[in-house]
Amino acid sequence: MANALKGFLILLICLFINSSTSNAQVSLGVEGGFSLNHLFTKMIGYNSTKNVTKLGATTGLIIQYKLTDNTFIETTPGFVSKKYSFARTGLLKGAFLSFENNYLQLPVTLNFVFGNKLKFFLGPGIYTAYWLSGSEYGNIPDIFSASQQADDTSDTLTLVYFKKSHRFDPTLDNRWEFGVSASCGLRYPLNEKYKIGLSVKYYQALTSRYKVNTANTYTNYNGTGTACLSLIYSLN
Amino acid sequence: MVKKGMIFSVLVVFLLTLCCSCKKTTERFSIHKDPQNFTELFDSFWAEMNINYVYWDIDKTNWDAIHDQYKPKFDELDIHNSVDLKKSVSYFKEISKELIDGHYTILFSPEAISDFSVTPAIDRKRAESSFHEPYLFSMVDPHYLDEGYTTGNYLTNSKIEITATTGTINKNILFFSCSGFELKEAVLKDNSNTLKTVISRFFDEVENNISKYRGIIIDLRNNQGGGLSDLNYFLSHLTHDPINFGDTRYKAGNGRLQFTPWISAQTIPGLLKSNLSTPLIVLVDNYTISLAEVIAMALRTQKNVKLVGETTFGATGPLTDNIVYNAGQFDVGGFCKVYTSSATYRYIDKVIYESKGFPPDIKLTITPFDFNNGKDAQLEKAINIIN
Repeated sequence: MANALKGFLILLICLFINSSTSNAQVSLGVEGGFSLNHLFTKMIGYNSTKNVTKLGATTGLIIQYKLTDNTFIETTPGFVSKKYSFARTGLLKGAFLSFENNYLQLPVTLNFVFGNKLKFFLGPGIYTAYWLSGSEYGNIPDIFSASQQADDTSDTLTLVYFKKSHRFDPTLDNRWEFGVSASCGLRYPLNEKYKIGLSVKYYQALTSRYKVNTANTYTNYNGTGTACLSLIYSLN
Repeated sequence: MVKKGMIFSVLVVFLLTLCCSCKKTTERFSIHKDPQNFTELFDSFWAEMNINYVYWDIDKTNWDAIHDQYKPKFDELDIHNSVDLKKSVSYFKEISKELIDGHYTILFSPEAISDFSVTPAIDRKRAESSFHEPYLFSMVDPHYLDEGYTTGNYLTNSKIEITATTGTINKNILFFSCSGFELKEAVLKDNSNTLKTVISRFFDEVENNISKYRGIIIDLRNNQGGGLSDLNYFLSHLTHDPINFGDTRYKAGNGRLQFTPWISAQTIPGLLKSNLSTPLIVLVDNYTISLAEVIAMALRTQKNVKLVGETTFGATGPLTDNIVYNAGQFDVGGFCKVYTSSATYRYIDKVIYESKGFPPDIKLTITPFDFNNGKDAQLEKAINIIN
């Protein structure tokens, strides 16, 4: 994987050097939309539990550097919320633990463009993200609420709601995330300067959300899809 | 160029996706559902403890060092050899000797070791200089009760006999004692068990005739605890307002240190028309265990309540099926069953009394000499406080 990333960076540099001799253009813009995150982990020790993908939000600045008529480099520094949830099933339905984690993310993608007026683009990328803040909330059965029913020998438990901010633990939490991305989308020129666009991107973390050691023996990787609308202004 | 670019980007995206799907999850410690040897069995036990034990953030046991130290020892054992099976019990004893969970117990299934168990909290108690065997208060305390007291028994679904007594002392103190908590189960049972009579008489006196009494004594000594539903059942008959008696915390993932935040623990609103102002003394000792401790602690939050006797056992973490919290008690491939708390409980002062035990307000130890001469100094102290 390290070699693939190295190759990608070398390719970007080569294209950048090549572009300096052509008519390079810089465009700026903004984008916003929603994110869908899933935590990829082995569900060992999670009985009657469903790993749920959760919807969040994303927003960012767009900086595009046109390399050739058919290629551009794009970076979209911004905010992405990466949420996930563990929902209990069966008799425990209604109980859940949800995690909302907010990241500052810096992706770099190399996009290949095709099409005439309506342009389509597609490309791979890499990204890094910093875990800014987080919160945990959920419905959990209150063990001391146990109440035995007249017609049953089992206890019923009342669900209690809780919410708290995540307190970072340097021994547990991996605040820096690195990974690869893939993006595709389309751009439509409103006039010579302005374009509107729609993009779909996928970010796959290659670093675990929790540090992996004997205390946390199972890796947890964020897999995040985003869909954004964008407005782009050409500086040239 | 356009075509080449498209082919290139599709190829790169495909390769990156492939790399991601092939990434390894780190699984150094496996759980074997059906361990075939001691190597697999120890791996499973170690990993299950890693996931299910709820005190890792405060326990002094170095679980990583345990792995390094005992893995080679278990590797040498033969699971089909009875001498090695017995040796494994001694290893489990050594491994768990410092675990703070007062409920922690390992029971073994193989016939050669089915009579053995690992109970570190009891072993530690036995090693203390203040250790004493439980006193049989039922032999002495009836002498303090007025005529007409009631004693009842009930055999629980788990085949544990519970005895309870209620009556009066000097006509002006209401007395209640029980050896365990499955009171609601007894009341809900169709059969006519005599425990029902004791419970309804005590609750009826509290609800309807409390003005007759100068105080109440609830004796939770030698009380082994029991069903969690008795917490609300018992306390709702002694209170009006819900009691906030501390917090609970649960596991929030399969990492050793993944926990939920502390969540407030509160009883349901009580059945009395108002809170009791009558002095209430709860008698506790080293054998006030589990739910009995939690009930004593919950009562202690009330202004009219004092605890008299010895520090409680120190098994305050509640137990339920593993599936509820994905934590607590677990099986190791049919070889052994490990009983351990499902959640951590801390009192309103934010202290976790697991292993330490909850201290009484008035500490008083009974001497064997006094007890053998029919004197229960703790009960006498409770009577004096009320009078």
